[in-house]
Formats: sequence, structure tokens, C-alpha cells
Amino acid sequence: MEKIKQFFSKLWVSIKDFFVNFNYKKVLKIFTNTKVLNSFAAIFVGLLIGFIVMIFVAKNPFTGEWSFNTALDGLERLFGGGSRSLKNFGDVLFKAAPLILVGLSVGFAFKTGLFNIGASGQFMVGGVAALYAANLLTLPTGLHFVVAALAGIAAGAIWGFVPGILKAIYNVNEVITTIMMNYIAMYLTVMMVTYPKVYDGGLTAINTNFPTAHTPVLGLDKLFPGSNIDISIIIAILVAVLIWFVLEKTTLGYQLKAVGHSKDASKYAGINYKKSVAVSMMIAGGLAGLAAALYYLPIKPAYFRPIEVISPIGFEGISIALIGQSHPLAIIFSGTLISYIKEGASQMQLFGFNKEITNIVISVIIYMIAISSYLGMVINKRKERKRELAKEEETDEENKEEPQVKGGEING
Amino acid sequence: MDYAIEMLNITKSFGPLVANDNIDLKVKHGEIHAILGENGAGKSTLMSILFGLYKADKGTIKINGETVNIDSPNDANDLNIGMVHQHFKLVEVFTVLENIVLGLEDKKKGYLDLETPREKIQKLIDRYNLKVDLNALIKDISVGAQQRVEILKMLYRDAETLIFDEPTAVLTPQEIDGLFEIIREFAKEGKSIIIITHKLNEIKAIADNCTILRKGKHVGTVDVKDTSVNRLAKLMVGRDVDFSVEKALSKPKDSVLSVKNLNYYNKDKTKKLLNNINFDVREGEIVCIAGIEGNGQTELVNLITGLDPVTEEGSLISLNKEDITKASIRERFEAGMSHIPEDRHKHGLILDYNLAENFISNTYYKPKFQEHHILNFENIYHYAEELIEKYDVRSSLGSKSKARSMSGGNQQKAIIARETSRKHNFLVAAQPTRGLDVGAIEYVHKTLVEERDRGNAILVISLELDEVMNIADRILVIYEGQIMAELDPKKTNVEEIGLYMSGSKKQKVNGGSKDGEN
Ligand SMILES: Nc1ncnc2c1ncn2[C@@H]1O[C@H](COP(=O)(O)OP(=O)(O)OP(=O)(O)O)[C@@H](O)[C@H]1O
Ligand SMILES: [Mg+2]
Repeated sequence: MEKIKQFFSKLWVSIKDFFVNFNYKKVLKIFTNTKVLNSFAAIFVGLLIGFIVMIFVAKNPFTGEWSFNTALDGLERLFGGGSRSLKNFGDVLFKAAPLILVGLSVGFAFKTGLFNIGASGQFMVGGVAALYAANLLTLPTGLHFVVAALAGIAAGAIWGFVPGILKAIYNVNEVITTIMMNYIAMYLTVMMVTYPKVYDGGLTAINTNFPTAHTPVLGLDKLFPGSNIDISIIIAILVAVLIWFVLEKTTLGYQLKAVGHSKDASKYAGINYKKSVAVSMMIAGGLAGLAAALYYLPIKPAYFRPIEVISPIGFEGISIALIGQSHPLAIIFSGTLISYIKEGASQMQLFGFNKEITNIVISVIIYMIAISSYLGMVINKRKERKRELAKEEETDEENKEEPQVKGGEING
Repeated sequence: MDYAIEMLNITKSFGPLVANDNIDLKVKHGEIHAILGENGAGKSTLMSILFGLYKADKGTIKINGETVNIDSPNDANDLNIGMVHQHFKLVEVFTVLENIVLGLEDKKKGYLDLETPREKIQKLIDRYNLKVDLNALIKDISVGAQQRVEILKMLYRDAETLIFDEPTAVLTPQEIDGLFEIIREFAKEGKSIIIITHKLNEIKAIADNCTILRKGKHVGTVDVKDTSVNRLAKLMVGRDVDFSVEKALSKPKDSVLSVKNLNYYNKDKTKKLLNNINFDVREGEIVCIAGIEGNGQTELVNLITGLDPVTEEGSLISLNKEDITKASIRERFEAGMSHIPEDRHKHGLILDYNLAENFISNTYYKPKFQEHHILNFENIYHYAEELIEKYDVRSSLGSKSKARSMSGGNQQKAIIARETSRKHNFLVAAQPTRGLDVGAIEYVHKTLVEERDRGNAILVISLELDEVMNIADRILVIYEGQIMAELDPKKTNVEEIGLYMSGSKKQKVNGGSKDGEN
């Protein structure tokens, strides 16, 4: 207990330090960092290409004829839909929470050298576990939510642990096992959803009427009137900070990243490779499980239906982690950004656009990020060349004199 | 024009560090030109500029008198410049043949054609006696063979200028002789050769001229014929270097490490790699294992340090009277072991961690570096500064330099710093001076002797007989996984050790050492 207290006091001190030493130059430096610039450029290009597609498909909703103005209207929604009103922005934040957590799940695993394709499966079992706990337990308000969320975390963690341990002991590639775990999760949850004690035949989904277990709102709806916002966004941000802290400041993070960088060197250093891999996958799974809890427990929840489809959210998590370059704090922004674009896209439907345009935008962003490091290199090279050409002209003059030949020795 | 290669006024900085400061290098056709300099002097950097891996900030490069622009290794290729890197650049899971043609693949009807190149390469192999199995995978062949693959890669690309970055660091003396013969052959054909090495007698043996760098600056270029080894050393480090190690007679006390009946087989149990090994290392002595590479040294070290598990019944390893046969690596460290590994890139360093993080890679959990599982960065960086200062580890950004960006010798120094600064009373050092300059070697040898005099037990695995003769208090010669002899360096000579090393002579030893020399 004492230890945990100490841990959190340290965490608090380092967060405080962050704000006390807050220095705008440092922040400016972060934003002019090439990696960050690359991400911004990628997002811009993604939106631009989305717009070009919209131009092609834009039809005037009344006449049905091609119309550039409709495309502009759509673009305006895509760009500004998420911030048209406090309600819209509240909803963006509300929907961002699970996205941030799935992004963290993938990003955390990636930082430790693992590719977690199984966030979807971990999400699905986490969701069912949280809903089971919400429906079957009787607990006081607040505590019930906490327990249900923990149930989600535990189920996700177990789902991550299995591929982790398989990799640790039998060296089975986690990409394959996590994909298989996705299928197992899909069929398992389909069976579990229709369990009579939790199933609501009218809804054709797991019952969502569990008054004591809903995510607390804590008055946030006063800030964003009319929106669905609850404390899930705060939880997501706190967890992101915690994950950043664990990765950068703790021995566990040191150890997990070391294993991610080099299995052999960390083995040599006496780090328990097997344990590290298992722990890392467990944490990743737990994060996806928590995401599911925050997705299914709100007062206006998403419904868990018995359909045989692997939840696409795990793959969105990969996108979010990629855009945030696996940095836990950057993932807060990339998760919010995706949520923002999605909100805009859903409003675009008003003008007859298909909301799948978001998928185009997101995939272009990811492609751009993938090639931006290459583009960055090309641009740098170009710059260097130009600089050199300029220099060469200068030095040409100097070089006309015989370059000094150094022979023999200078120092004796 | 006289010169094949001219590098004029080359300057290159990495952040605040000027790795090459206005350096000139001129090499004629048919000349073997050595480059000498301390660890981190900028030798690899200069060669990487010639090979197009780095772009110089300033300076000109002329090939056969013509100014050229080398922006990438492809440009270097087009100018017939080839390079064998300090750390080889081969694809481990590809075959030798695939590695050689990689990047220059021929196509036949759209398919990869390996048969035409195979003929050309086979001709090269025969002509220069560069024996390798073209169908073997890189990860299955010896380091010496890998180097021959790198050489074939250059020849296959018709290189006229051949750059060798520390080619001999990883070779056995026999392989070195072979390499030098090939290099002389190249020179006779009019090719220009640039060779980086820290071994001064090798420079004397093979080079015509030698360019000396110190801390990024050009100290001079000398004619090797007229320059003594001592003079070369002095030019390079700026002071006299003491080649012989001064040490008092060892006064060994209690046994620290004890190896009993150690047997080990290869994976499919078809070959015995270690055959009934018995020996002790005692407080206050340096025991050297001498032998030709590949005679079981690596396996022996891996079993002692726990990198590989002991599989045979009856084999016993104990440290400070504690049975560690089945102990984990960390338990061994805790029991007092330190380990300078043979492969610094694979085991010794986490290349993407910075220097400070690497200094704590096996002690990060100690109270000094963490409290309640939170790393104490103040102490960590403070500790790093201490080690950097004490061991003279040079790099561009000090404790914040990524291990990957450091020069080979400085990487090695960092490992030595870490392992000898940790609490321990037993040190296994596998080829501790590989890739170090003479000044640094002198320092490492001194450190080992100091360790010994402090009462630590030291086990050194070395391929170099000079080193063995210099620092050992007791020599064990290994051949085909067996200890062939136990010798007193004062009563033996290199020739005798050579006989045991090649298996042509065998002493009757019980291997134990309680009674000292026999
Ligand atoms: N990519 C890089 N980024 C930053 N610093 C670098 C980089 N490459 C080299 N350096 C620094 O430049 C200096 C010269 O390095 P270089 O590898 O040329 O040394 P070297 O003479 O080959 O030494 P060694 O004998 O140890 O191999 C070193 O201090 C090294 O840390
Ligand atoms: Mg070098």
C-alpha cells in the first residue's frame, strides 16, 4: 500500500514538474519536430484527398446533379462538424475515449516490440465481461461502474496474455495468435450475448438498463450541454499519462522497451524476456478491455449484438497508434482527431455523402505517414544539395589556390 | 593524374562534435594505404564519406583526378569503390550467393537469375582463393567466411578501390595471413586499398603509407617503411605507449569460479562441443583461455554466463561456492559475475538506448537507480558522466548519445566501463580488446590487472597470443572443446602454445588448478 502511495506521489510530482517547468519554447520544439510535422502534413493531405473524392461524388440533394457547392458544404462539415457546437464537441470527446484506449493498446505493445493485431478480440471479450458485471452484480452506484470496468480490463488482459505467453514460451508469432484470438473472441461473444439473463430480446442486444453501473457523468454535461459526454474521456487521458509514465519513467518501462529493442541484449542483461512479453501483452489487452467498458457502459451506450463480425475498432486502434507514432501522449490527440473526423463525416451525410469517406481520409493519412519519413528524407536531401550548390560557388574561388598538402608529421 | 583517390579538406560534424576536421587523404593506384587513429578519431566516418554513406560538410573528392559527387553507396559503386564495413552488412537469412548479388540482381524473363552470377562469382573464388559455400546461409558460416562474402561482394561489383574497415579484428591469425595475401594480390593488379586497423604490426606488414588521425584531425601521412611501430603509436595517441603490461606476481587465493565435468553437445546431439572441462579461477589471478576461434570458447562462455543452459547431467558450475549451474543470468550477476560479451552489438548493447541507459542495463533495478520502481534519472546520468570521464568514452552527445551512433571502439569501452564498475568479484571477458586502439588496449589491460590486484578472479578469452602472453597468470589452451594444456606464461612461448592450439600436442592435465602450475 505504502509503495503504491509512493508511486502515485512520484507520478504526481513528475506531472507537476511538467507544468511548473512548462516552457513554450519546449512546446514549440515539439511542434516543429519533423515527426510531428510529418503527422500534421499527413493529416492535411488526407483531408485534401478526401475532399477530392467528395468533389467527384457530390450531388445537389434536391436536383441530384453534380454540384461543387455541395462538395464545399460537405467539406465544411468534415472540417468543422466536430466543433459546430459544444454538443458536437462533447460528443467528439465522448467517442474519443475508447478510441484513445485502443490506440494505447496497440501503441504500448508496439513500443515494447510487439504487434497487437488482437485489440479487437480483447475489446470484444472486455465488452462482454463489463456488460455481464453490469447486469449480473448488484452493487452501489459508482462502485458498480468501477467493478464492471475492472471486469472488462481483466477479460482483455487475459485475451492479451494468451498470445503473450505463447510468444514467450513457444516463440509463436503474436501477429498470428492475436488474429486467431480475434476469431475466438467473436464466436465466444456471440454465444455469450444471447445468455438469457443478460440478453434483451427487444433490443436484440445485451441489456443496457443497469442504472448503477453506468459511466458517471460528474456534471460534464453542464460543460457540453446536450452531448453524451461522461468521465470516460478523463479516464482515457489519465490512463494515457499513466502509460507514458510507466514507459518513460519506471523500471518496468525500461525493461519492456529494452526487450522491444533487442531480445538478445536484454537477455544478456538478465532481463526476463518471457515475463516481459507476457506482461506487455497483458497490459495491451487490459487497455483494449477498458476501452470496451467505456464503450458499452455509458448511459447512451453502444449495443452489443450477436453478430459474427470482428469489431473494427481494433484496426482503428492501429491507425490511431500509427498517427500518434505510438507515443502515449500523442495518441490522446490522434484518437481525438479520428473521433473528430468521424463526427464530421456523420454530419456530411446530411448532404448525401457516404460516411465511409472517413475511412478514405484515415487510410490516406496512414499511407502518408508511412511514406512521410521517406518524403522527409528526400526533402532534406534536396535542401542539402541546394545548400551545397550555394557553398560550392563560394568555395570554388578559394579552391583555385593550391590546396595545402599535409605531409610528414606535425606532432613529434 | 597520379592519384586514384583524393579526399581534400574533408570536414564532417555530428552535432557539436567535429568527427573529421579538414582531412586530406591521397591514395595511388596499386597502393595499400593504412589509416590509423584512436577510437572515435573519425576513421570510419571518413571512409563512410568516401563510400557515400555520409555527406561531408565541406571538402572535395577526386577520383583519378576528376572531382566527383558521391551521394550514396550506389554512386560509390558506379565509381568502382567498394567497402567492407566494421560491422558486416549481410542479410543473415539469405544465402551467400543471394547476399553477393543483392542490389545488382540479373533478371531473365523477369525472373531472378542466379546462375550467370554464380559462374562469375565462382571464377572470383577460384582466382583469389576466397573459399565460401555459395549455398550456405550467412547465419551458418563463420565470421571469417562472412568477411570473404563481403570481399566477393566488392569484387562482383568490379571495385577498383577497396576499403577495409578493421577487417582483422574478427579474424584468426591464419585468416589474417590469408586476407593479407589476397590484399597484396589486389594491389599487384593496380587496385587501390585503404585499410583501417589498430594493429600496428599489421600496418608494418602490409601497408605502403599510413595516414594518422587524432580526434578528427589529420596528424600526418608517413611512409611505413621508415617508421617504427613505437613511432606510429606515439603519433596516434600523442604520447609513448607501453606495450608490455607491468604486473606483480599473482598471489591467487580461494577459488571463485569452479567448472567441473562440463560437457556440451550441439543442438541435435551429433557433435560434442565441450568435452569434460575442468578448471578453477581463483581470487587474484587472470586465467586466459587461448585457442583458435570456434574450438568451444563461445559455448564455454555462454554456459558460464547463462546465455545457454547447461544440458548435461553431472556438469557443474559454481561461483563463490554457490552452485549456479541452473541459475538465471540475473542470479549469476547477483552472485558476483560480470561479463564482457564477445558480440557487442548482439549482446553488449541495446543500440537504440543511449549511453546512460546502457550503463544501467543490468543494474537498473538497484536502489541507486530506482526507488519504488521509478527510475532515478539524476543518479543515472550522474553515474554515466562518471563512467564516461573515468573510461574516456568518446561520443558526440556524451551520456545522451545513442549507442548505435558511437564508434566501435567506444562502444566496447562503454561495455568494459559498465562491467568493471559493477559490484562483482568474477569477470568473464570475451575478447575484451577487440577493436580497441593501442592506447585503449593498454588501459584495458591495466584495468584487468588492477581488478586482479583487488582480489577479483578474471577469466579472459582471447584469440590473440600476444595478449594472452601479456596478461595471463595462467593459460589454458582449448582445442576441439578440450583443455589441451595448462601453462605458465613465464615458462612457455608462443610456439609451444601454437602446438597445443592446433591439437598437435596434448598435455596430461587434470584441468584442476588447486595446485597451481604442474
Ligand atoms: N551517425 C552518427 N551520429 C552521431 N555521432 C556519430 C555518428 N557516427 C559517428 N559519430 C561520432 O563520430 C566520432 C567518430 O566516429 P568513427 O566511427 O568515425 O570513429 P573511428 O575512428 O572509426 O573509431 P573506432 O576505431 O572506434 O571504430 C565518434 O565520436 C562517434 O561517436
Ligand atoms: Mg570505426
